[in-house]
Amino acid sequence: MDRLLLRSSPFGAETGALPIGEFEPGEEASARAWDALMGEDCKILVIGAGGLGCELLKDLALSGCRDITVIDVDTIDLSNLNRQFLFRMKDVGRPKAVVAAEFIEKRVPGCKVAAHHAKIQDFDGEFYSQFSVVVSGLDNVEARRWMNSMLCSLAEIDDDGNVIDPDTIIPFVDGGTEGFKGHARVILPRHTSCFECSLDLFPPQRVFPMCTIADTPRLPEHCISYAHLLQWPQAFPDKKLDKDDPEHMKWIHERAQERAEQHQIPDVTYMLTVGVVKNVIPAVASTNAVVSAACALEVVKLVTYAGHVLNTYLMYNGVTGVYGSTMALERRADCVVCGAPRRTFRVPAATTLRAFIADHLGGAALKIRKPSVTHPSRVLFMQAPPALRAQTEPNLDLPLSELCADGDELTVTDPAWGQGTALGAVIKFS
Amino acid sequence: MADGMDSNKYDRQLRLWGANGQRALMTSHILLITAGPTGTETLKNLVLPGVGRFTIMDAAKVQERDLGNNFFVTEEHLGRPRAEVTCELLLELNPDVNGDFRVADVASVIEEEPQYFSTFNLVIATQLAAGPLAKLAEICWDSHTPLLVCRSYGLICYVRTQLRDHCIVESKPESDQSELRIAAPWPELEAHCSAVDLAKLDSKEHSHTPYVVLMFQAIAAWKAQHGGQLPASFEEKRKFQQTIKDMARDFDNEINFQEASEHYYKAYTLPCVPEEIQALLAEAQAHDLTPQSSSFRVLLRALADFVAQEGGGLLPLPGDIPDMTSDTDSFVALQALYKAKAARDAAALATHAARHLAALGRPASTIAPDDVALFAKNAHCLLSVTTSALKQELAADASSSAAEGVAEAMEDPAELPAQTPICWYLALRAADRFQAKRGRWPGETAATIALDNQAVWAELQALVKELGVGKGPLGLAHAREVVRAGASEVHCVASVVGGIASQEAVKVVTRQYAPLDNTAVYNGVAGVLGVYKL
Repeated sequence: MDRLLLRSSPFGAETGALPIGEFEPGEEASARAWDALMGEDCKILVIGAGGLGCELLKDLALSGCRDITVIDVDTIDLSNLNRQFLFRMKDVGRPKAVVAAEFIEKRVPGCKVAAHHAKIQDFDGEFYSQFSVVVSGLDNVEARRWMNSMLCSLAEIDDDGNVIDPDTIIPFVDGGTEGFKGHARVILPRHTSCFECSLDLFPPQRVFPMCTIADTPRLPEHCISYAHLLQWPQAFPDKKLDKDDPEHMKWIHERAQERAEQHQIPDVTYMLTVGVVKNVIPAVASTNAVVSAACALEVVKLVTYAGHVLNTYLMYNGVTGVYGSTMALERRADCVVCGAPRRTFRVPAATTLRAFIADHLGGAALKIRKPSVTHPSRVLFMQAPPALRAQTEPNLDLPLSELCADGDELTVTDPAWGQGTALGAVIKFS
Repeated sequence: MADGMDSNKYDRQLRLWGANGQRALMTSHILLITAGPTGTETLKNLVLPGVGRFTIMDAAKVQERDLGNNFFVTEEHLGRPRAEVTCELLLELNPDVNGDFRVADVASVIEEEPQYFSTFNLVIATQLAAGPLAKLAEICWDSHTPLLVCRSYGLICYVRTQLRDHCIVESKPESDQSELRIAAPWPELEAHCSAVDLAKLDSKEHSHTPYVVLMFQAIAAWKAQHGGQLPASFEEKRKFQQTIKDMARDFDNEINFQEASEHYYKAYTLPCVPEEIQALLAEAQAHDLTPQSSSFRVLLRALADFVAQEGGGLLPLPGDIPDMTSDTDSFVALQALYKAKAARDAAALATHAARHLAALGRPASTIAPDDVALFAKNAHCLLSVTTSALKQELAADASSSAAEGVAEAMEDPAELPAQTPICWYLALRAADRFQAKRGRWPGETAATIALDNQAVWAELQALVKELGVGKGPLGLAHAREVVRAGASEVHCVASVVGGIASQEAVKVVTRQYAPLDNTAVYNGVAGVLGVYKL
């Protein structure tokens, strides 16, 4: 790293598409670039200690980062060992964050790794604002949305949405993989496209229509879903299916096989059963390595300015040959999280609040599932606590014209966005 | 699972390459040359999924500077052979894997034991200087040994594959591979589809008749009204699509008819042998089989016979059908029809293969029935990959196989033209030329930086002139970035190249998925990946 941080470059960050700062190398170890990475003020947060997280921790430690924090809620499973190389057979069952941190500290002397076996939602804005960069290796959209929303809310802005204090911008680097494919991306809150702006990049999970599962099964997956979604709740009304319990999975597999035999549908296997019920995504060491290293290199450039910052999304596909593409994702002016969070909805005055939520907020529209709605003068519908929910539930079946006036702005919140984000919904009666 | 395969530990990867692929991986022996971070990061991603065996060749001893970028050495190993130490720490990752090492200078092994390299399923050469690399590549080319070349240098890295007649049955393309043959049905399919009398069905049956049957009837009706002709012009095709819609009783609520209308073109698209497969078959017929011919070559020859005889100009039917709206019984019946035809075709292929094997004096059991079936099922996407030889790429004039690829890439630059990855490939070639002449890398010491900048820039200009391509966006700045890096091996960059290389390695040894052909360059300065045929 010395040569890259102490010698001047014709391609410092200032010459790139996202000129976040000027590369200041020098012959001394006191040079800004050096200090920014290896000095005391550089604190990196790694979200997830799984396939990507293990790689990220190694990459950052060997890049010279001295102060790393890692958060992961999971414990180690046998099926992790084909790629999560900081874990061994003896570690199965222990918290991922703790084991990963121990290993890195031992292997890379001088690198401090603080471990939190917890959910990201357990920490607040003050906690997150201590970091220079946040980098995530997650396997789900919801956690990314929450983290993105948190970091966007930390960037202090004026009434026009411009950032007042650049120091409050915490870059968010996100990696993800599925089989031989993956992506690395950089989000500069309120400067570049944020995670919410480009939510459509993630296709919805494949679901089978309930009528197919119940009446006209054709695929082994249909039989498995039947056993999982219909037979289990019927047989065990008081017991939740534990997808990690082999006895439970065996039961589902056997029922699915019975149904498949009855309908002469081939190929119900235990492996497929687990895959369908747990929505297993294939994962290999190689893709994790590519994506994590690309992310870690962006972290290094974000703090040292020793190169152009990725603008903004790199996709990798190794299924047929190798294919890569870098593209600048666009910001959405009306993004609920990082834009001017106000949208106008033209709806008939007779629309019920329930229909409004279902058609305009939930589903494909904003992709939120548990919205709460308030009017400047009162709460219209609140998901929790239960008492408030019970009190506001009758409003769901009232027409909007009884709940607000034409042109009123309602406030919509949702757990997917976390605390700092709300949408202003201006209602115009059509 | 059979043969000691741990299906729990390997679950997430078995879902990609299956038991076949895992078995191939677990019986592979891979040679890694040079145990720096580029090498160990590549090997790590092969040990984790359970490669059978590896050998590390490296002459170096662990030094202080290894501690800063290599995850598989520690302070206590200082002074010990790097091959031994990295072998030990890599083996810790997976008890299923065997590994050994050889403390030897690769350049001397290349000179003294060229035959050594052909004992491996794959050779991975990392951070090897241009001179010995050229010789190694020639040895591998001559012995048909797959070779992966990995390089990381400052913020730039690349992977180059060199493959010769590399055969792949399970290429697993991402696009829809189903073949329905509605326009050219075999007798059983024709009988099955014409037996359905749509007019007599109740509304539930009508809305649950699979679209294969609907489209068969639609196209039969069209042909009857158009003198036996299929729809040809754009307008006819549109009209045909409308006839499908008109067949519905309640189009808005009959999903099967909506599906038929969406896939209408499948009704008149005639099946054919793809051009790439035709070329493979022509080649198979042009060469006589020998007792040494691989199973792939024997099956390819048998496939040519099948196409000429039973196939009537077509490949064996793959046999899978996509999911479609249907009641269970209709779908299962249709699926069984396709599967039965696929099984018949595979059996015919097996007969041809057995005849060829017999002529070679080999028993029919040389090729397992499952392998024949797999070959038949994948007949439309078989691959035989031959990349250019590294020697052709490195030719110092316009005859270089790289000339065209470089020129093409320069014409299609990235958003910031100077960051087009091909520029960095050329810049590293310039650094190689510098090294070959001076015996040291540019920028190794700070004192010569200014001079080295100019020297590398001169090499870069000479190189593009030799290749007969323009300078494009190349400039002194590229030389400066290469010199400033001073041949340093940055861990993250090594890890990117290690990831790409290990993925290609898995694809090569499992003989699944199309491999890289032939160079992927990652530009870490700007986060851009380019793939080129050089």
